Amino acid sequence: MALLPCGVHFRTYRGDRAYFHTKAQWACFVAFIIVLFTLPLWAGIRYIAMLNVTAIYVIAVVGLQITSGYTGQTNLGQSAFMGMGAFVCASMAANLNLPFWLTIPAGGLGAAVFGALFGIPALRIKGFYLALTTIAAQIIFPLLIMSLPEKLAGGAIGLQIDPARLGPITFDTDVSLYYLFMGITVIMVYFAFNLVRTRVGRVFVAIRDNDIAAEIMGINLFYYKTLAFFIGAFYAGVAGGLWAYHLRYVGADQFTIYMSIWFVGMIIVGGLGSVLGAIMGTIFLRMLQEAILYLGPLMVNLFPNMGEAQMWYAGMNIVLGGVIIVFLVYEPHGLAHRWNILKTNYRVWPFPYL
Amino acid sequence: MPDALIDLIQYTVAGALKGMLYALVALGFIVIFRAGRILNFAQGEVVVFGGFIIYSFLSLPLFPSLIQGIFGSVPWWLFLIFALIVSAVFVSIFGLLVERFVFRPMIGQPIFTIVMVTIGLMLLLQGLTIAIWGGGDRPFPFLFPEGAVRLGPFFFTRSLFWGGILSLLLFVVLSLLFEKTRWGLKLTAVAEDHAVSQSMGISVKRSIATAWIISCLLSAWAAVVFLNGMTLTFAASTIGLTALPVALLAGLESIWGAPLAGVIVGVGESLAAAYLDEYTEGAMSEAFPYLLMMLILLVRPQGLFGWKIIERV
Amino acid sequence: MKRCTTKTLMSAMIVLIAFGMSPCLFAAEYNVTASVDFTGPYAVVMPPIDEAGKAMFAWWNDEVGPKLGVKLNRKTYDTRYDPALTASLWPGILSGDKPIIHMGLGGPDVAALMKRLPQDKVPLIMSTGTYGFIWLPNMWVFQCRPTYVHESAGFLNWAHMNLIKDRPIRVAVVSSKVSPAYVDGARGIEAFAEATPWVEIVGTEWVQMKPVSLLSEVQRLSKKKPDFFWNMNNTYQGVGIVKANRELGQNIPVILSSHNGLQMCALATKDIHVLEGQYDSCAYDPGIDMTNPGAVIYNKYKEKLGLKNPWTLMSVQVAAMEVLTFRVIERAIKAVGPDNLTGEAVYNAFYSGPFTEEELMGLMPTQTFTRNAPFSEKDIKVKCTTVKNGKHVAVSPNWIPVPPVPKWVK
Repeated sequence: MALLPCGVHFRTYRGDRAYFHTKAQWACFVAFIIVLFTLPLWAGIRYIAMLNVTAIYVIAVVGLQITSGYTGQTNLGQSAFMGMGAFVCASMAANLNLPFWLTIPAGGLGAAVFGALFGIPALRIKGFYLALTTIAAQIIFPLLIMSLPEKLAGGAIGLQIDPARLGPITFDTDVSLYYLFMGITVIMVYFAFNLVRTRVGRVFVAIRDNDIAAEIMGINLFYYKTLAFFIGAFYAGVAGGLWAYHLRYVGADQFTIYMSIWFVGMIIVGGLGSVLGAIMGTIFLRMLQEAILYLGPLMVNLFPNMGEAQMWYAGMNIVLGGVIIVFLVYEPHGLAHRWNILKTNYRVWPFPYL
Repeated sequence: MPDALIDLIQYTVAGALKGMLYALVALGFIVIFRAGRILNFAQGEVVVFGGFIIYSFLSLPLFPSLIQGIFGSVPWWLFLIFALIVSAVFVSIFGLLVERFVFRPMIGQPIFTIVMVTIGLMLLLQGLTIAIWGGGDRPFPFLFPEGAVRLGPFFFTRSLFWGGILSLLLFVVLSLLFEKTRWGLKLTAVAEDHAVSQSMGISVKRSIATAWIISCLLSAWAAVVFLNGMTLTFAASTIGLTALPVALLAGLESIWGAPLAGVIVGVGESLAAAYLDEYTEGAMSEAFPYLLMMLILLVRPQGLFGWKIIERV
Repeated sequence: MKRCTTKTLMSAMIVLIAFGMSPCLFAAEYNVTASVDFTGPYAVVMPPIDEAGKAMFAWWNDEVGPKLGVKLNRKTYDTRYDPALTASLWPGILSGDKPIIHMGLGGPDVAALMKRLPQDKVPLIMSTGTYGFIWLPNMWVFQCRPTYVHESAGFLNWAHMNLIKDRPIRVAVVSSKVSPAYVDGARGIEAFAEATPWVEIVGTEWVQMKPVSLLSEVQRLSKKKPDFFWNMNNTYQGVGIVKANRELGQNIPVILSSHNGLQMCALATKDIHVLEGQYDSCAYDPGIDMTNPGAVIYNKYKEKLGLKNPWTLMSVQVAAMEVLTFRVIERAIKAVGPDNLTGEAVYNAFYSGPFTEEELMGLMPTQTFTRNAPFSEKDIKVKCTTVKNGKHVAVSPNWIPVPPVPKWVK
């Protein structure tokens, strides 16, 4: 919680617990939303495309934050849950011809059930062992898809679907997809922000802090741990549905364990335990990846005589790994923590501390 | 002996030998976890990196001719030992560097941060491997001569066979070291609680460094057994992910649980591939280690021989 | 070629719209974009592929382009073999470079782009074998090769006519569940065997990506007395089967593909004698004949540009794709003129009639594209090679025809 400016006080609990306390904060927020939705008008198409994929990742990572950051359940299978959502969504779209506003939630539910299944062991298993159970989900998922009948789940050849349609609008250009994705992302993130402030959110935090103490206080661990996985996987499933409509082709090999690992990286870099952290971490790592893609060929072209091209591209990998390590060594609490410190510094300036 | 029985024994023993290799890599995980409570996801890359270092040594034209010059014609197992000793020095240096700069700041951090740092390390090592040695494939030298060992009607890959036997010896030695010697006791104390062991006068940093060096040496040995005569490439690091269920099945703190878990997983995988794969089109042998691990974890959440941590509320 | 190098120093994001409006350029300039991957699965082969690309483009811009008044710029983008990165890079490439054709690398390019290309109006050309999931009509994806199953079928045809003439050929399949493309290939060869009376599949084994040891699997399959093993996946599995054969003291030949073929495996084992008696099959020229016009051009430019990699099958793979691209672009220029070249013009030029083997420098057989399939379905032919007495030779100097392969993807 950042500090408030002088003179701002509340007489009701509701006022105290609000996210936006001052008019200035409201104004900033509204301006942000306006900028977000008018971005296609003045940003290059490349940035819109980057934001499309980033939006999909944001939804998945926010879900992961709920499962892992708020409830403390290690989850390295988020990408498999996303894939499950993508396949359920694509299967319903291809076989039953349902519109996107039915298939995407259906994809979310399918992934949620799958995720809850792998979350059931969480009652007994903890820590790194749970991490491996979720990796098991990651390994079993493609095998499962390839064993199901081809008409249903695409088997080895994947599923192809038509673009999303809403009445006369077809979402098949980057800009139209941007609006669709941003809209859905805003809705999901809004739910996430609110979820963590309800009783359920507090239960999650209690489980994270000490699950045995929570059980003693009367919380049904089985229900809430499974619920954490359910909700996290639902978010992943929705992200998967969006992915399906983005590429319009889903294949079993698009959801790898490396994607799961990147998701975990995003919540750590962003900061465990805050939805804003999840968003910031996602954006930071995505931008880093894109920057590296851009830098690699640039370096090769600028220094054609310094070693082979391969060395530069591999060097990019080194830079990526190095940045992550350095970041974690020097700021283990993540970007959200830094952001809070920044806000506090702004408030108390010119004093160094309150 | 009836054919079906011969087959059964063949698959079982071949699976057990493969399982010993998994156990070797898993032991790398376990030794590090035991000392610092860090699960090192980059263990596969460490194995490959060790393999590359050994390869570089054996390709230097100087090295074999030096050995030949000093000792005349040398039997293959002596050459192997020399190669391993020299590479061990360099692998240890590498291990120390990683430990100092990557793992020491991570002591006491939450699980996630540690996981992420090892993943960053994974990316770093991948990039480093490609940058130093290039992305091309190259053959790993035959430190164990090529061919199969024949015992009656059974065939076993020579490297896995001898590697398995030697690894078994290694496991026995290591578990004795960790359980019976004073030095092993110190490492165990550090594994249990850093703060308490420091107040007892045990250097946590040195213990972790030692554990890291042992782990790197184990990985180098695993690389020799695994890659003998095969293609050496950075893509071989997937062995790390295959060995992870073995480590967790054994329990992350148990040294002599590793070979047992390895044998169980290896035999199970081999038998599943032989008898169940035709019905499931190959899915069972891939999924088997994980399914088994999940089942056993449900019954014993700390792995077969892991420490049962008593949580105080 | 210093001019070419200097030009490519400019940032990849600068828009090069030079439809004859810039007074200092003599020729209309167009961009051809290509995906590369130096750190993922293609890292092993990317250097020879990249260099073959540079050489062929240099040749065309020196010899052919000026006569037609067109210059082609080759721009590479690192996609790391990841569909998400390809999907997020592509719109930038599309609007920034306005390419007239994109040269893809593998599955992720197709997965990310195939549904949006009809709208973006830029064709995609691929040098790898066709995967089952793109064997569909009306695609903007063009394949220089038929499926891997077609290529194996070609080899089996040669074996049927020359080695095993009087009984069905028994094939043992070694595949892997790791990638759907591998599973797809296995299904395809099974469908082919069912449809062809003189081929039968005796068994299938599923292994890991980089297996520890294939001894048990090869032993199990050997019990069923196959004539050949079949593996199209990667060099680790191919070499693994050969080694397992040696350990068992037998030598059942393995049928390989281009990316895990004899040249690639020889690179991996550094000793060609290990591969004695194995076969590989591919719809390209195998890259061992240095008198091939493509080889001659590559070696000439290798000197000129200071490239390091020799002419191999991987170079052929890329050079063949690029020569086909050049021929298509030449036809497009003839149709619409050098100043009106667009992706759509190039797309239409693909269907403008057969591209003969001579036009393609003997690197590929004659290609005739129709809207029924992304690859040329007429007169499919392959070339197979083997290792005999330690030398890598072709099994037959001519192209081997491929028998009909049923479409196993519904």
